[in-house]
Amino acid sequence: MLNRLNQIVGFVVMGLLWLSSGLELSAQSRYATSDNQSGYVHWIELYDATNTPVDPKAENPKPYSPERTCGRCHDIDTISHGWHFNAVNSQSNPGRPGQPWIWSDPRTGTHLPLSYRDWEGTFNPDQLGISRWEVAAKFGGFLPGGGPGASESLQDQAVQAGVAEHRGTELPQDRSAITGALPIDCLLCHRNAGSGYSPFAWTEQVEDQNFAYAPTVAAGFALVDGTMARIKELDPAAPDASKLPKVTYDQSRFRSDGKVFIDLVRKPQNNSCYYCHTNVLADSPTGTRWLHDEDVHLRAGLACSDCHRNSLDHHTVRGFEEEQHQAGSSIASLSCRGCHLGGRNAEDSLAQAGRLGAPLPEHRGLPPVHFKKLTCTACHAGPNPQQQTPRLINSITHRLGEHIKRSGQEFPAIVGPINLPIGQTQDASHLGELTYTPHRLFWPSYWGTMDQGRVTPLNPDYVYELIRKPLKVKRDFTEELADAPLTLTQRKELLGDDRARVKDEDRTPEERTKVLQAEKIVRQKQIDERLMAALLAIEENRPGKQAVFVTAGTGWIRYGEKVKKLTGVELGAAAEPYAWPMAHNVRPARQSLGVNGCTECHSDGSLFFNADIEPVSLLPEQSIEPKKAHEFQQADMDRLRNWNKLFAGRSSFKIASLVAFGVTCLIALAAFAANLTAYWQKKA
Amino acid sequence: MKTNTIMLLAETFLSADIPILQLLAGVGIILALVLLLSTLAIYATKRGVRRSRKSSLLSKLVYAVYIALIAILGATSFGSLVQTGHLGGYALQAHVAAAGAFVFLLALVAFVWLPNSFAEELRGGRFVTGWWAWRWSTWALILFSLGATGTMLVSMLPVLATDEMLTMARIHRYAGLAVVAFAIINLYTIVCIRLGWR
Repeated sequence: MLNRLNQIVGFVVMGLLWLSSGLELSAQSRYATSDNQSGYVHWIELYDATNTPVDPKAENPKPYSPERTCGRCHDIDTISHGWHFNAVNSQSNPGRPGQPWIWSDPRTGTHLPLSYRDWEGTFNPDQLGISRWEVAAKFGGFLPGGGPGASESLQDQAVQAGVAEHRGTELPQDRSAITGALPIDCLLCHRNAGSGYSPFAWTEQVEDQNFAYAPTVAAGFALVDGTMARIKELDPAAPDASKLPKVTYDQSRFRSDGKVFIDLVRKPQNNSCYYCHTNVLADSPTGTRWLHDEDVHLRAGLACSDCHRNSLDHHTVRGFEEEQHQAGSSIASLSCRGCHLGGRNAEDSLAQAGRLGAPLPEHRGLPPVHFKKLTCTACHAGPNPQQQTPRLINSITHRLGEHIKRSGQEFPAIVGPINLPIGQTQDASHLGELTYTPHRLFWPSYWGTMDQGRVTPLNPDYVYELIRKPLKVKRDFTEELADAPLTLTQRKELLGDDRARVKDEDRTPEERTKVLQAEKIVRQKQIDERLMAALLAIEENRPGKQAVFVTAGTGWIRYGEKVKKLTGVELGAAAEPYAWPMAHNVRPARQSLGVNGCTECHSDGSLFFNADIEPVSLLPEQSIEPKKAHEFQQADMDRLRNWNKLFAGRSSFKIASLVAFGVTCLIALAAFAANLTAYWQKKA
Repeated sequence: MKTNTIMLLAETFLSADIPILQLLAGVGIILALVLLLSTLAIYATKRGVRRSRKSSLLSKLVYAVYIALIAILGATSFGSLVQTGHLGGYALQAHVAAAGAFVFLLALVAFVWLPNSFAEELRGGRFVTGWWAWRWSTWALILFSLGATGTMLVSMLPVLATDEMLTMARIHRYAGLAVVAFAIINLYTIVCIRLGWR
């Protein structure tokens, strides 16, 4: 009976296995593949969003649709759920915190870290009343499409209702009925260098709300005249072609059979990644870029996608230790430690270390406890530690790629690297278990309300509508609040009638000092007055709530007829910066932290624990004391200072210890000889 | 063939990462049994003669400090390992500080105690060598102390790679445990001698 039952269970299991393998095979075999390492040369027909071949000679040709064109041979549905597209998917694994989308509104001094991925310290756009369409329009220029701008995301009724509820009084801005969805543009990542594809053009088109046109213009297939941003109303079912942007295809790109050559690569090249993932020191725009080195891995000939690789599912490996791949693939050797320090794994060859010739670092003399306390990047990645932690700029936040003059000091002020613990716990008894890894961080700034000590940010657009009049800012919050020139009357009072109209460069040093001091007073008064008026405007609109402006870890509230500054302690979590781990650029071993000895970290004043980090306020005239790295590290500084004492004179101690050890050995040998002699004498 | 087997056994032992709790429990049980059975045997065959030669104050002091340091080193290391699974924090600091003193004191201990280990002493009107258990435990204590010290001193130099350092740390742990065990045995033998049982 039991045997019979076993047989039945066996058949069922085998059947299920066969079925699952069959399903997998069918998924793989749905599309034909070339499977040649030389790649497939893409002479293909372009299709528009209605799945009709593009006729470049047509009167009003439509833009090509990558989803329809590429989707004829590639499984777009699978691809569109990969890491770069699945931020809005609550089922996707958020992994460790990453770089947020920072919603910046220079008019109100707002810089809010956003993410749909439930990373602690970020805000969910849905809960701030920011529509999916707004996110797509704001950040889509540095996204490969899809994600928040995908059709299913834009049309999610539950999300729409939630966004409207959180928004406040008015409906959220959603022009998806006019612009359509933000399409996935495969070429943004898979373009070949020199193909003429321009990611800058993609960004420009997305900013113009020309979502559907962006891939066509970026690929250089056509020129597009007009913007969807200007269209107030449009019937999506029967759009008026005269209102839509006009597409003019470059007919020379089309072969006689209507096919177009698309110069693409299977494995994304570094420059494709760099477009959205450039992270450089803030002084780079001032001409210092040539002084800095690239990542040692790239110099050695590796590409970003050698480690950050993915299969058809596009679940790109992020590359941190303990990462769990969304699809359950073996990625153990695709982290620094896995590739350089991992061992041989007989069961899974993909988990073996040393891939692509990765050398085994010897770390001679480095106590192994460091591998528990630090990630590889703590010593090997990012700019060399400096007393003043440098400011950084990146593509998505600071819109690198946009052709403008920039100083590098643009907001938000992101700083790094600072080594912070991951897997943080407030329980001091577990301090020994923290692992430090380098982070970038910034202090969010935003307008919100405060209720029983808890700060909740308000929707940035809603805030702008409320405070734009009392704040009297048109473009730049910080710049315009600081702009407080003296009136002629004030100058007359200060310098006398004769000197009141004299230009600044013609004033005497004493006059300049007087004017500067007077301007400072006027500026402070202006800041206080406008801040007060803005806070009041919010409170009038939100009865019973206390309005607050949070910046650089401090808060500003209305206190009677004055504005009052709140400290970080009073603000609680709202004052904390948002930090996320960084891993590049990797420095060579000879430039790693600790290469000069233990005291590089184990000494009072070491940069690891004592580097200065300066919160930068959006409010002019607000000076904030720089903080020390250890204030964020949960480090027991008393213990560390004691520890440092043990490292003082360590070299001398080593020599003395070795001498003492040698002497002990000699004594032991002598004693042994003496005892042996005594033994033989006794025996004799 | 024999050498190969010994090498293989040594390699297996050194590479084996025996869980600390099991290791301590094993050593503790063996030690307790040895001491219990020894006490029964020694008490049954006690000589009842107190030794006549007294140690100098310096040697007593050196020995006392030495045992105290071993107690600190053992408590900070094995106590911390049992409690948190790793040696860190203030326990590590105390361990390192005590180890610094231990290295230098070891030379003095070896000088004061080892040369006398085979010397004869007057007992009950006749000259005899010290009790073998005391002699051998003293030697074992000093030699394992040298092992524990040497492994850490080598690890402090920029000569060993990570794997080698991990092996060295493991040897250090085993040597340290042996030091603690032999310190207990040595102390026990001294007590037996003091009581005149041997």
